[in-house]
Amino acid sequence: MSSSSYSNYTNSPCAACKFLRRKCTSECVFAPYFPPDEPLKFANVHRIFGASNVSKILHEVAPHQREDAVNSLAYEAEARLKDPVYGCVGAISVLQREVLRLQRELEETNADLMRYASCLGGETSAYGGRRG
Amino acid sequence: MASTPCAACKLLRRKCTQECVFAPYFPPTQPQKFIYVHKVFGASNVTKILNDLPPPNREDAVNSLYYEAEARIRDPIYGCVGLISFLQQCLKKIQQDLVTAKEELAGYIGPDAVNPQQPYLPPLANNPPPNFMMAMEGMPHGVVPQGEPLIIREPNMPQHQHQPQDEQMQLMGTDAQRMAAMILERGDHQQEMFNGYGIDNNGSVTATGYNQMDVNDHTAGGSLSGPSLALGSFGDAYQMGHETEHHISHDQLQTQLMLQPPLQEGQEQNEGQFLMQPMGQENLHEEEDEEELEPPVKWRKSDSKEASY
Repeated sequence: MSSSSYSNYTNSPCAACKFLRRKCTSECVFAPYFPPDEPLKFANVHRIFGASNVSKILHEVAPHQREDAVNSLAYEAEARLKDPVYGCVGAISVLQREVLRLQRELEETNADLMRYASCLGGETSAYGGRRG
Repeated sequence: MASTPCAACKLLRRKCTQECVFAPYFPPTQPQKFIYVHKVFGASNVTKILNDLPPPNREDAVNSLYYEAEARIRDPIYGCVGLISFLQQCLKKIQQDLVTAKEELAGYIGPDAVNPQQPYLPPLANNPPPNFMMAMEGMPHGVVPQGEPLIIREPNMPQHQHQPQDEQMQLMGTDAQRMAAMILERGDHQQEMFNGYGIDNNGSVTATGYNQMDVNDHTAGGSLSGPSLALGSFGDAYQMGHETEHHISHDQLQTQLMLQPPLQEGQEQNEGQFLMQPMGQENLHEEEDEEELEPPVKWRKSDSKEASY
């Protein structure tokens, strides 16, 4: 998505270069992932991680993985801006809680099932025994 | 301790004064903590974040930053966002299993007898915890490639937190359906993925997973009681609205904070205190020993084999 949308803006500097007020060259590592029509995406990521760190991370990963990396960074950055204390770690905790709650409910339900199934099985075998 | 510079000042080779904002949270005995946070966020950004927060919230902030940083170093592509995605899938799977089990149980005791006071429907569609809903909001535009099954929804409106709840539920339901399709697609790999996050072959959570937590809450989004609440204030804050964020006292937070960054080598672990440790450090520098798992998120465009949980 970013790559295609960026092609529409080849004459405009990417959001990162615009933000950093530098020339956007064809080698710009940010350009494919920070199109000029999404200035907030870079602003958030820059504010939380810093352009330098983002650049390092992008260089660490293979080009075909960079879009995912940028998007996950953008997610983390936005979460941190919304909740400076917990960021997206808060979401992890909430999800864990919910998983655990349902896990316990499932265990209880399965235990009930076992109980009913064994009761029914016992009745059936007793009944079958009488018939036999 | 006072004469020893904190881990941050030591790394930055500067004098550690009494006003050092890092010192209370980056003790010299845990150098790795600051190294990670500095590498991912930068000391300057961390300083800004800490200075923007009241002191009682700073310890939690540092710990969550450390957690995120460690996750990002471990998985430069997805960081801890991969875990969010995984947990969503996990949640969906358990929801499906629960629906099936309840239907089966209803065959024995009748539909009215199955949770008569709390008729079960998938929580996301029926009674979503507000905090969970909020947690799923906010995925920046473009996170989810279009046309692929998505886990984390792409918000398309800036005021999404004020979205009508019904609409939120509907969106979450859509995600849930997509997750269901995705889980079916995943087949056997799903189990590997669960194992990677500490969930055993029976679908229950192992010692490295969530079983340290004592949850007494059975109402979606409600408060958990007891000292084992996991980062409860995040959910509670969202549940009550942003205007009441971080209203919980520091003492409460300390007892509630269960989701901790991985332990340093040699650091004593209080097992009962930890909710999960998905990002163990022991293999951080031993990539070859890590079990290769399927990427835990379906929205990944790339077939990364690097992610390992």
